[in-house]
Amino acid sequence: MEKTKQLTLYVDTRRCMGCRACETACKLENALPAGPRYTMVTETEVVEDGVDKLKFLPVPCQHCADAPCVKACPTGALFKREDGVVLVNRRKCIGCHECLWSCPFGVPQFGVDGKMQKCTLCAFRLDRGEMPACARACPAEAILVGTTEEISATLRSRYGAQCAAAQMMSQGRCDPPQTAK
Amino acid sequence: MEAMNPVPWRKHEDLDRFAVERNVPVTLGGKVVIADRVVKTSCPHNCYDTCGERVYVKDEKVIKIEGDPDHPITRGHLCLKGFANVAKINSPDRVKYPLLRVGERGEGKFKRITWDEAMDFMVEKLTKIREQYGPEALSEYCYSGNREHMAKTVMGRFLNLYGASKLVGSFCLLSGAAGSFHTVGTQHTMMPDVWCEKAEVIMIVGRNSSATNPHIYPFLYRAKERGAKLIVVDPYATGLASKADLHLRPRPGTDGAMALGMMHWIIKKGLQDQAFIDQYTYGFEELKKLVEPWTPEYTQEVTTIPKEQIIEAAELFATHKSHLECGYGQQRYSNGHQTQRALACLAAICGRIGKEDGGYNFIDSMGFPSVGEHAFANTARVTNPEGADIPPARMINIASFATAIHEAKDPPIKAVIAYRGGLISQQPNVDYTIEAVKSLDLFVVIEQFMTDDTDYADLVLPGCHYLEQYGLHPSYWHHYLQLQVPVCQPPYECVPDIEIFEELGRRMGYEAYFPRERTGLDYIRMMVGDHCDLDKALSPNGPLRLPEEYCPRVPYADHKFDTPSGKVELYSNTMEQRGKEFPGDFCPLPHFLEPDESLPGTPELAKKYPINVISQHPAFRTHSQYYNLPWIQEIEGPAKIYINPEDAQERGIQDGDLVRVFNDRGELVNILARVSRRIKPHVAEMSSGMWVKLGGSVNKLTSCSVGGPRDIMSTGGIMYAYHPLLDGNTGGYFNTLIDIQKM
Amino acid sequence: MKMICIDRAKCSGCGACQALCALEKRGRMQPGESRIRLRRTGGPMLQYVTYCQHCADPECVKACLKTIIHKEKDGLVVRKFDECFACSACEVACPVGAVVYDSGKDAYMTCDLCRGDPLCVKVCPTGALTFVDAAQSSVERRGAYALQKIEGKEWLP
Repeated sequence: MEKTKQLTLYVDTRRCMGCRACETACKLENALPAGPRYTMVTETEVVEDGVDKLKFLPVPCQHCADAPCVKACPTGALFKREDGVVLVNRRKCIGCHECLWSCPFGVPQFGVDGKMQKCTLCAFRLDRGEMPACARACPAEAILVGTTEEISATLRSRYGAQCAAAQMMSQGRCDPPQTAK
Repeated sequence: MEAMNPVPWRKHEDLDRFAVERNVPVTLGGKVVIADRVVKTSCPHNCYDTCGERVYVKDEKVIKIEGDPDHPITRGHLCLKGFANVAKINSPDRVKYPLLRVGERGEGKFKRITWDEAMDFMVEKLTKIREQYGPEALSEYCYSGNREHMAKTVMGRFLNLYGASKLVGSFCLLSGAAGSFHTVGTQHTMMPDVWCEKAEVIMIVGRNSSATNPHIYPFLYRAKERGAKLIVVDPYATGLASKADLHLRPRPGTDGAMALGMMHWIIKKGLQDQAFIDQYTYGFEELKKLVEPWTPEYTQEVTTIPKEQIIEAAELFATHKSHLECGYGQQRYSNGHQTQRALACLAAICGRIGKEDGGYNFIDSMGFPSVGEHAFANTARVTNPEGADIPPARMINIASFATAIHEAKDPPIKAVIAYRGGLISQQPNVDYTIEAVKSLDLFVVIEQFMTDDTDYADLVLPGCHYLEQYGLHPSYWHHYLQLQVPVCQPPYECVPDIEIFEELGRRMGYEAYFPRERTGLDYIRMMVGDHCDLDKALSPNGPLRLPEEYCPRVPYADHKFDTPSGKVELYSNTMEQRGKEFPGDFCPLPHFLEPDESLPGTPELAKKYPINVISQHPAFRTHSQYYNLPWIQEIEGPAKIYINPEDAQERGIQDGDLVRVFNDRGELVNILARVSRRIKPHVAEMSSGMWVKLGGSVNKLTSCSVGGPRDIMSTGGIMYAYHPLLDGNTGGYFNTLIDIQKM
Repeated sequence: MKMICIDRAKCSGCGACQALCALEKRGRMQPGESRIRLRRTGGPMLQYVTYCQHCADPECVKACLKTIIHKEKDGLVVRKFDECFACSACEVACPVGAVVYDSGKDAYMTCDLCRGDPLCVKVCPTGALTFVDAAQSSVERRGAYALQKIEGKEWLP
């Protein structure tokens, strides 16, 4: 399958507001006990233009195009599907943790049996034409799953007007908006 | 597996009739499972969103839950607790059968008994207590653990027949509700799908929607993507504040002063909507005089908000189509009622009432569906059955519950039946509350888990999850009703709350008033009558858009306000009038008062305890519920306190240190210190709702301070006349001074 | 179970872990017999340390001709090295190259986590090595990624 047709999960961080609904939706969908967290929302404090803010970022698996975990796995338990989803065959997994050391995002989880388990992009749901649980659950509609084209289209419809205006302003082609009276 | 005893009087209904679909395939753990049925219900916890839910049931067990896509406001999404309900309802730690205390109160030692034995125990004790002290020695303790309104109405019938004291009031939002009522009369909120289309400025005060209102975000973002600006007022940086274009951080308890400062500037610059003021408000001249001294400089001094921000917020708000959305945080102080009055006046002088492009929201009158002449839910039909001889009884205000137990005489309070509320974990001043509980002859707790309350109970009864009970819980934010129905049969020996009250009533001699065949749905119909077509709100139908006469799409479009003048009262006649009859702060203008504990207001106390701790409601829990679930504990982490870097440095505290948090009322030890700029100097933040026995309860430190306007402490929390929207009351949780030191 | 976790991006290839492990276990700086070894692959990851991962389903256990390697209840993979006759089957089978020949014991050995206080972690100058459980390591990595992403280029107009 063409790389551009592969599925990707994108978090619109302008929208993520730190409610963590995706975390328990994921737990429920995957019937997980406490322990493995297929997705996890990070909370980071930043100072933006002198203002203290919190930034949130859920980190499920990125299903990388060139996945380091697949390359690092010594038994071939990790593989990438046609549609781009990276999965682990737990029968082949020996729990050596090499995938965790190679993953830039800290995605691999190790449950009670010591073998690796992780976000599957809800492949089982995708195969049935349903959205991944976290994307479905997000109250802010911040988690987007689809091809890069589809995701771009959504982002453009959300922010396009503002981006166009900003671009025109920076080129001096229009004045900054006035505060209306 | 322990054997469960049959509970012969527990009702068994055919719940299949609520099914939306039967034999429904659903994905779970990477497999497809065929659920027996899927049922629509809604969440009755104390949060704005009141989400529509679809619940999947198999073999009378809840296997999955998701949001109901048919709900126009919650749009098929849930919060993290919504999904955790599956873990909660199926938790192996649920209370399974009645338990009788065998040790001392507080030891949490029990032995298993049968329901018959439990009922006999209660009947014996309640009869004896009535003989010895009189029926007013009994009170219920009930709050918003399950906020639906029907069950407490059924309990109200029992309590009325017995002659018990009546529990009134609230300890979380009535100060603000009274403040609103004294300004605009009956309150109506505008739904977000209305204001998001036209509002240009949205100001949200005292609410962290990420934690308690996540479903506002699609609408908020819609507004922002249209170019609207967001102003957030909150002492500390939250998820919502981080999305703001302007974040104002008042000193805790000074949101009212901020509003006065904003009004001063608006009037000075002539930015007010004079036409609206002239036509639809009363008392502008008096308000103008009140705000005269509130210059930006003075407001900055009091609130610690930089004056440039006060000016910017005032101008933005007054010169645009603005929407003011108020949470409850700003009124959780002893001055909460006046804070809310000031905010309501701010919206009024800018003409932000009665328009489609934005309004003034605090709490919809559906939050108290039984209050008022044209109430949606007529609870008296249930609480006061025809032909029953109901003696008049005194009232106990829940905002002063422990005080009432300590001080009540003739008779003292000797028996409490507690359900749907964590008395010990949620009321302020834990040690004071525990002393009160220890003085009782009878403390019965209906609970789903062994909590702080059950530790001190004489009798623990296995309660039901909201998914196992009927309920009437209209949202106090949007106008869609979905009745709660039992989606599955209760497990073990658990019994729905109303059936406990009914059976107790029958055994106490009131069989005539508790017919066996009546269900929770019947009680709901009795309450609502023909005010709406309830069947449309009952699974498989729903949600139902409530009739406009109760919940108009554009509140006050007709500019009719049920106040004495018929206008928005900037100078409140009802405050003035009530103040003649009852003690308290009934000043008819929204003046600013320092909260009961504050650095400038109580300087002697501040010398000992120079930090003001506020306690948010985090996303992880609804108050103290869900705290014990492993999923939630894993996400939330240990009990922590956020301290400003300056305060931390002064005390030699580094991020990650364990600290002691203390004041004269109590102490907490081994709390994780998080040094953070999200909180300003001299302020600290610790989540509310953590259990006392798990070591993190901020209520070890909070005081019995109460928001007004009525002063309920002067009569020890006992009263003989009370009106929630005139008298108010809220727990002054946030005006609490403490100090912190390294362990 | 706590284990030695590595952030390979932070590893500078200094070899301190290797040197001090050998010193501790062999009494002298014999890098070839250290239980944590520095590899230079010459590829994009120029420095790369390997050590026993205490796998859930260890290859060495399956490969051992004398079945003297087993995984304990707490997760530690241990060996009865007195009975080892140095056939090297475990060394060949190990997919991460963690097994080393200890000439002092005349047996094949692996990292034993220094009885719960691993020396290599303490001496690592860059903090690439930490001693936490896999869940904690994952949380830390996710947090570090978020921080890096947020501090990086923001595209907000």
